[in-house]
Amino acid sequence: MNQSINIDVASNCIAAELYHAATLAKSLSLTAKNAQAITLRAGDNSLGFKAITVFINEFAETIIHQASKINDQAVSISRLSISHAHTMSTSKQFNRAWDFAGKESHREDLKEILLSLHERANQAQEKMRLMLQHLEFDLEESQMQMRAAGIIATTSKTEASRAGEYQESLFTIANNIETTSSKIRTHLKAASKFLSELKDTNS
Amino acid sequence: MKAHVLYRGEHHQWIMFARDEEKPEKIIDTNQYLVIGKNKSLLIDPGGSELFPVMLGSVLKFLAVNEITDIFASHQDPDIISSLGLWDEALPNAKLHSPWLWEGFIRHFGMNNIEYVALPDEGGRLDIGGTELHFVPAHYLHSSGNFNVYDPVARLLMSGDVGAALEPNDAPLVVDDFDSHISKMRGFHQRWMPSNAAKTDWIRRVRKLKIDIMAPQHGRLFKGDDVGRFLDWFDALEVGSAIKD
Repeated sequence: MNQSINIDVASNCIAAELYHAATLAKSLSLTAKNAQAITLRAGDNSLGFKAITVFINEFAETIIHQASKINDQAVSISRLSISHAHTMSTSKQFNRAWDFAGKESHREDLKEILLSLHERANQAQEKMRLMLQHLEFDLEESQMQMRAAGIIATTSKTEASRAGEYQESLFTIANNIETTSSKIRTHLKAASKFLSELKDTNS
Repeated sequence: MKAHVLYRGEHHQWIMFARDEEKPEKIIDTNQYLVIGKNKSLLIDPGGSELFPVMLGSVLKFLAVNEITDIFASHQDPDIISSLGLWDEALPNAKLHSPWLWEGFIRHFGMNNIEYVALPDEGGRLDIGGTELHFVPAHYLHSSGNFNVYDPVARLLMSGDVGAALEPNDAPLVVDDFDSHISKMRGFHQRWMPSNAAKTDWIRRVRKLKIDIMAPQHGRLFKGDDVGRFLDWFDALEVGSAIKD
């Protein structure tokens, strides 16, 4: 039961981290859209920055999508762990009933139920293993994108310095992109840590 | 868990399961009942989830698990039916007879397979392989949707919380001295029973029944004249004690 509670807690923590990452990504997407509006006014001076904002916007949308997907996966893992805990607990109760019934009883009837509970528990365990694999893959992919975003955020500062009278506005936006990307990375890192715990618990 | 045959007739028998030695100390002791008929059997107030392994193990000494066709829950309390989710695994084809009022609540205990048969306020009847059992309304005694089970052939009334007594796990099964037993029942009835009107109405109806054994869900059985003594005592008792004048 404790193992399932740990899985439930860890998967909910992952969902919470991804929720925060998605909220930040939404704000990042809005920042990128504002930046695009400024680059339109800035014209040729900000062509480099404009390309970056397009990328940042697409990247933010991807993070929002990934976060939603990972959140769904984490919720499913949480539900499965609770259901698995229930099956294990039920199985324990029927095993105790078997002992209490003793030989002079109809306890053979329980064999089929115990077998079915055992199969259900094994199936849940296998399903959970596969779901954890998918979760790990998606989380790694998001982290890879975030690393790229970190580099782009730094580049955006260089591009902002070439934007003439719009330099200050674009600097603010570049800083915003850098800070928000860093925060998203922190949440994804935390989610990864919880995933490692979850995998350890389930192994 | 001790099992006692309370009645053995031509078509059916009543078995009481009580005084569970395995019971955790802080859990209230409960009495469970099983009516075995021809081709059908009814498990009455099967108990809490803590009790399930012992209860199932005890029941299997009398019949095969698929011979339990029906379950009755007098009301929604956990000591009555919180084991439902486990019985649901054991008896996927059974029917649960319980007050309509509590269906949405009782389902919280887990019910994916068993069919809920909602008893209307006026009660109902159930044929257990040639014997008709009566579900007698006992609303507000103590639960707001509440039934007893009456067997006119065995002349036995399973009275739920009415007649309950709080006493040690090794108490005798039958009331042997009614007067000394009162102290074990008084507090329970004064505090758990909320309505004097409901109590009076129940006593009026139950006095018309022929009862040899009154079997509560906690405590001891009342036999013979002690049934009448209990009804007189209960009639005179003011209930709903948590409300002060």
